[in-house]
Amino acid sequence: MSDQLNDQPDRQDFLDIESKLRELDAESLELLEPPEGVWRGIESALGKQGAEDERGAEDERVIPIEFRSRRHLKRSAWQGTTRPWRVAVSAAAALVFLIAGVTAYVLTRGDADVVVVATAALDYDAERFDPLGAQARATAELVAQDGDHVIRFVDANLPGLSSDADLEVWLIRPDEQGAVADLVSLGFIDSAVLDTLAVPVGYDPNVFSVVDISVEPRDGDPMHSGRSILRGTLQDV
Amino acid sequence: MKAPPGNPSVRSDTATPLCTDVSLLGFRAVPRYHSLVQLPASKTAEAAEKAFARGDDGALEMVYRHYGNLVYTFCRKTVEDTRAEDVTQEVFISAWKSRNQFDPAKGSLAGWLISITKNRIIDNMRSENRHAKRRADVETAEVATSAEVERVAERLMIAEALRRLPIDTRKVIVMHYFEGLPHGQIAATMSLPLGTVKSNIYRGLTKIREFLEPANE
Repeated sequence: MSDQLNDQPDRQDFLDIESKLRELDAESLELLEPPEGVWRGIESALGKQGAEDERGAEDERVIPIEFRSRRHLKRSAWQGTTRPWRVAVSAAAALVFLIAGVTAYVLTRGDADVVVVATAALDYDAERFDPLGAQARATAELVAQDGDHVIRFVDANLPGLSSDADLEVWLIRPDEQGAVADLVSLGFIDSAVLDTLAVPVGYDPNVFSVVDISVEPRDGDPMHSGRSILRGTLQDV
Repeated sequence: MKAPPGNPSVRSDTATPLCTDVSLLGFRAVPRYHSLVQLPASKTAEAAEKAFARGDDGALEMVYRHYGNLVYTFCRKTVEDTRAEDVTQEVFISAWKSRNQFDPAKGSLAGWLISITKNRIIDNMRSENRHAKRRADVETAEVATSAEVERVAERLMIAEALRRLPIDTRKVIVMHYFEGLPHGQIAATMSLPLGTVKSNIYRGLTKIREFLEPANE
């Protein structure tokens, strides 16, 4: 087993680390999420609660989480709104926009069976993403079509790749902290010909709510390469 | 080999949920496997550490979102559940107030936070022991428990170092040290040359050592 590392120059230096690695088990690697009240307690203790309340709600922008689910955003908005009249006004406004939006999409596209139900503006993150995406942009639309969902891209500018790599589209299910809880590949897209990709049966876009495009080397590995170029959260139209 | 960019307008056959791939590692028993296969954490960790060291607005929340689960897990494994939340809060409050003492050149923020947490946990244990008023029994127990705290801290730091590795490197480390697979079998499973597997493991061990050494000083 590890004695096959014998040909490495300073193997002795690693004996301690190797020993510790072997002691680890699944439980050692599992991290527990602290309850949300823990952060609120920290803020409160440091005197930030007043400023936070002034902003009206949890300000998602200051949270450097990779992404947040739509469910989380909705929950946060409701939690931050405590006055009944604000709830009523918000709900009415949302309903008007929803009806108007859906109607507009249906009318403009002239196809009553195809409805854009959510969109995601995909952004490049210079801190974390592959430099190939520096100039990239795209908007993903979640389309309800004959009872199924598909993802299609509009207003896209995607990088051309060499022959040994492809662009792959993923839907990601984030956990409450914005980390990747699960993900599913929708397939590959060509920067020149933007295909429509089906959302697989059993994957609810309300849950798998983050659209991600990654560079995938043709290395036989079906897992995400970690080289994302664009990412964004689906928002209801 | 992956399929090239496709021409079909709809390709549902390409859906490859990673839970299927997990079986390649024989890792079905891990309840939250994706904590291992998620995107590398090193970049966001670096950003959080820099912001924290500068004392930027929002830096503490950034650090909390990144390391809150590490600190909280440490607490849950070593103190009563009801105290774990309090100790976690104390750690981050203390860290923020003493952020001027954090020097990225001397070690990672994860190591610094683990060190603060360890001290808080031991303080907490001593406080509880004092209230127990069973001095003779308590002193023996405290030594053993302090050793346990050290052991948990060490394991968490190893796990954190593992999480920071690039995904490919992490995979071969997991297959080799968790699953006990020999290099040849890993190479065959992942369709990689044997030399690549060995160099990935070597690179991974080097990075883990680099991550741990400052914290061990």
